[in-house]
Amino acid sequence: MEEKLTAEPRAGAGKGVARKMRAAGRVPAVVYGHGVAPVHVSVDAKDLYHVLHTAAGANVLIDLAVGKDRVLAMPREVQRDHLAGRFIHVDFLRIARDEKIAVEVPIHVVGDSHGVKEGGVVEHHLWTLHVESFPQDVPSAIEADISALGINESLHVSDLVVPASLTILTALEETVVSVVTPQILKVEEVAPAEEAAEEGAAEEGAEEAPAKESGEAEG
Amino acid sequence: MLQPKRVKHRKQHRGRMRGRAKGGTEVQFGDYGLLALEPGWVTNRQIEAARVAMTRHIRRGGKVWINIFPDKPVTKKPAETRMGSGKGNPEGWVAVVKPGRVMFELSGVAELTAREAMSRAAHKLPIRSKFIIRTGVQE
Repeated sequence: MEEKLTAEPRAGAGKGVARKMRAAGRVPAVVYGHGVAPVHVSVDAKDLYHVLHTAAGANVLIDLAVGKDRVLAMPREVQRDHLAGRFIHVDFLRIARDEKIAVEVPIHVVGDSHGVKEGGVVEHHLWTLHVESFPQDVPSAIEADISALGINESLHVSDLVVPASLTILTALEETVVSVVTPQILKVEEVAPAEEAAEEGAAEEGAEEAPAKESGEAEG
Repeated sequence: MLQPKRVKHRKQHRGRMRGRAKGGTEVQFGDYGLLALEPGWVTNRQIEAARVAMTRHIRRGGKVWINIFPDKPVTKKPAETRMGSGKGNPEGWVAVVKPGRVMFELSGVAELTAREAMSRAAHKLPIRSKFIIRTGVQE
């Protein structure tokens, strides 16, 4: 199911035109791909926000109306202003339903690892998976089940369960998630009986440090 | 505390902090981050104080990343000294932070805990900052 978005062709290019456009509530964009010459367009910022925040995620299929033409597209690169929280520019890639495309699909960690219950920490190394598939088969996310992971165990790309329609392009030996021993636990394992005494001493020591700092600053 | 092992020159010019951060603007390693909203010098003591505040709040289970490093020496003239007679002595180290820079990252804890931990860390810093969540982190 594709989302509908209307784009207007823009005459000018460059930062001056783009800034005026953003001030007017529009986002500069470009449509390219399939051997067709790139078309400079602009889209409404609010409409774009809604299109990019659907259940389909970042790899949403968009039915883009450019003037009188209709283009099936997918957002390829979304540039954001991290401070103002607004869009700067968007690339739309022309796609065809019968042609495979390579996309990045986010990996979501699910399940409770028994390693975490034993005091381990989950380290998430790989956040997206590079896959190839037909546009309509791209999932919004791939789930990585960590419930079987213990401490010092890892989940690799080869362990992920992906739909048969997807071809994984990421190296299969790459680590997705691992459960490791936290550094605090390593200390406690050496002397479990002295745990309380050590913690008390650490807190006292840490409390002294800021006092010393403030004293020096005053001097 | 963080400081370089060795430097080529002991003293540096103060410099200007115009514009925005051009790198390190997204959460790279953890789930949550603390984003700088204004430019400033963050000293190694402030970084350490923020780290301690954060790790004390999360207790155990989480992981903290510090994405800034105090590699700039700052100098200070002794008290009650007349002006002139050259630049003062190196007194400390600072990290130059520009708006948009993710200074700290956190993972392995719930969002509420991360928010409170980052808030405690932000109180140790000389610049305004805000809590951000990595794009694509599911709740």
